[in-house]
Order: sequence, then C-alpha cells, then structure tokens
Amino acid sequence: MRPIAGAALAFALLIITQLVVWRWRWPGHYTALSVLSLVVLMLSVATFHALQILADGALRFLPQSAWDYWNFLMLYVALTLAYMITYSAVQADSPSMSILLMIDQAGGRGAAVPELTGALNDQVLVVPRLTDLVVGRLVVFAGDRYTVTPNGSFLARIYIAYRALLKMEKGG
Amino acid sequence: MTLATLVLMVAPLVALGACIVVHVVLSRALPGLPRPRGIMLSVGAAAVGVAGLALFGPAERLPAGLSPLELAAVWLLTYVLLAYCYVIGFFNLGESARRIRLLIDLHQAGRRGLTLEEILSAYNARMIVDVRLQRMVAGGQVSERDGVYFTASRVMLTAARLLVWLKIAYLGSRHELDVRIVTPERGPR
Repeated sequence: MRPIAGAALAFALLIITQLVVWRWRWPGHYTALSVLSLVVLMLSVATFHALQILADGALRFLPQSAWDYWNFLMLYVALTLAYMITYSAVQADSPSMSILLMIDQAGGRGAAVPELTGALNDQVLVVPRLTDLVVGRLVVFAGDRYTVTPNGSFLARIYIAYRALLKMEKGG
Repeated sequence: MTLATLVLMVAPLVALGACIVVHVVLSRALPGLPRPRGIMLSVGAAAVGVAGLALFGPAERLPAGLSPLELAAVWLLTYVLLAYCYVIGFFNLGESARRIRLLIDLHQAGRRGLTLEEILSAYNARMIVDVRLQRMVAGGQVSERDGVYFTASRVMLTAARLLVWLKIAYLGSRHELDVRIVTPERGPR
C-alpha cells in the first residue's frame, strides 16, 4: 500500500496548497494547476526520500524502492489528471447541474422550461463558452464573425474523427 | 528488461487502451446500446483484466516489494482514475461540452466563420436545456409531469451541491459569471 499512501499524501498536499494559493490569487488558467502539481510531485518525492533516510527506511507506509516510486508516480499522475478534469467542472457552470439546482429550489411546485430558459439563456450558456474559445486562441473574433484558428481546427478534427469512429452524431 | 516486463510496468495504461478499444467496438457493433451502459461495460471489462493480471499474472517478472493483492489495488486504482479521465475528460466532452460543439460548428463553417446570430440559430440555450432535460429524465434524475420538472433522484443533486461547495471553496462564489476575470479584448460578454 506504500504507493497508495504516498500518492494520497502528495495529493492532499496539492489540494491544500491550491486552496491557499487560489484564495490568495486566482490564476484563471489551467497551466498554473499543472505547474503546481509538478512542484508538489517533486517536493513529495524529495520529502519521502529524506524521511526514509532519516528513519533508516522504517516508514513502511511511504515509498521505498524504485518500483514503489514508479507505481506512486503513475497513481499520482492519474489522480492529478482526474482532479484537473473535475476542477474544470468547478470553474465552468454545468448546465445539467444548474438545471438540477433550479428544479430543486423550485421544490414541490417544480420548474417549467420557460422558467429554466429564462435564467439559463444564451448569455449564460453559450456566450461564455465562445469567450473561452477566444481566450484559448482556438477561435478569433474579428468584425462581427467568429473564425476557427488552425489549433481550433485541429481539435475539432480530432473530435469529429473520434465521434465518427464511435458512429455517433455531433454532441453538445 | 524484456518487453513483457515493460508492458507489465504500464499495465494500467494498457488497460486504458483496452477499455478504449472495447468502447469503440461496442459503440460500432451495438449502436442501440445506451451510452452509459457501453461505458460501464468497457470500463468494467478492462478493470477485470487488470485486476486478473495483478492477481494471477506473471507478477514475478516485476521487481519484488508488493504482494499480488497490493499490486491489484494500485493498478486498479490507477486504471479507474485513467478511465475516469477518458470518460469524463474525452468521451463526455464530445458528448456534451458546449465548447467542443461550438468549435466543430465553427470548423465546419470554414474560413468565412459565423456571426453570433448564425451560431445561435444552430445551437442555443433552449436546445442545451432541452437536451439535458431529456437526458436527465431518461437517466431518472428528474421526472416530468405536464411540462413541469421535479427532482427524482438525490444522487446527481448531491453532486451538484458538492460542486457549488467546491466553487465557493476555490473561487469564493457560487457562479462562474461572478468570478470571470479573463475576457477577450473583443467579443461579446
């Protein structure tokens, strides 16, 4: 269980560090979280190694061998990637989650579509996502038109090919 | 170090590859299969494979230190997290992400691009809400009576509340629009 305990400790350190840093200054892009996870990984490996040297290898719950560290690395990377994907849901409001919360707030009288679309309109659901594409340089906005960039086209082609491979229609 | 040892060292990644292949095969062979079921079958098949490999496979080829049971726990956990990344971070993006849908529409429009009005004529808030309500009714999260929607299951609602709590913890706000600080120089808000 050494790789699992090591990855859990490193991941806990990442969450605490992120909470502190983000409340102090929200970076607004994903690169910061990637850099932070890399820093935490290096710091964790160095700390585990130093602790094992100090304790003469007696800390049985922390990685010891190269094989332990390899499994720890794979697990930490998988955990961090899963976390980053979940974190994107924290940044952007999910329409499904917003709809559910609105229906729940309506209580016993329920919520009809006009009530939902009154709050969840194009300015809330579509325009911020277009803005994200412009900020991410996948789309440019010039004059009154949005045009896809080469990077945006590349990403679109990947999803078109993937959906065709699955024999599925356009999502959204 | 032999090729077999190298493959064993990255067993969770190999399992992820197997999961994707099974998912593609199932989607193509059984187009009527509900998508959540296809995902569950693909993820489950590869999970059984990776756990079986750790418990009954040639683990003696690997450096000593972990028992087969411990190896199964580490590999299974790593694989499940990678499968989550595939399902939520890749498959689900193509399935329901607004950004990907908009990007594909703009890509298909070519160099001419689209105005906001043209974009909204093909993809708009009403469509987004309708599709999600259909999915949630089919999935049993909400129920519909005479055009009015009610909460039917607490599971997804709990997840939604957890997300709100995380938003407050990380961003200090319940809604994304309250905290957006990055905006393009030009482009409508």
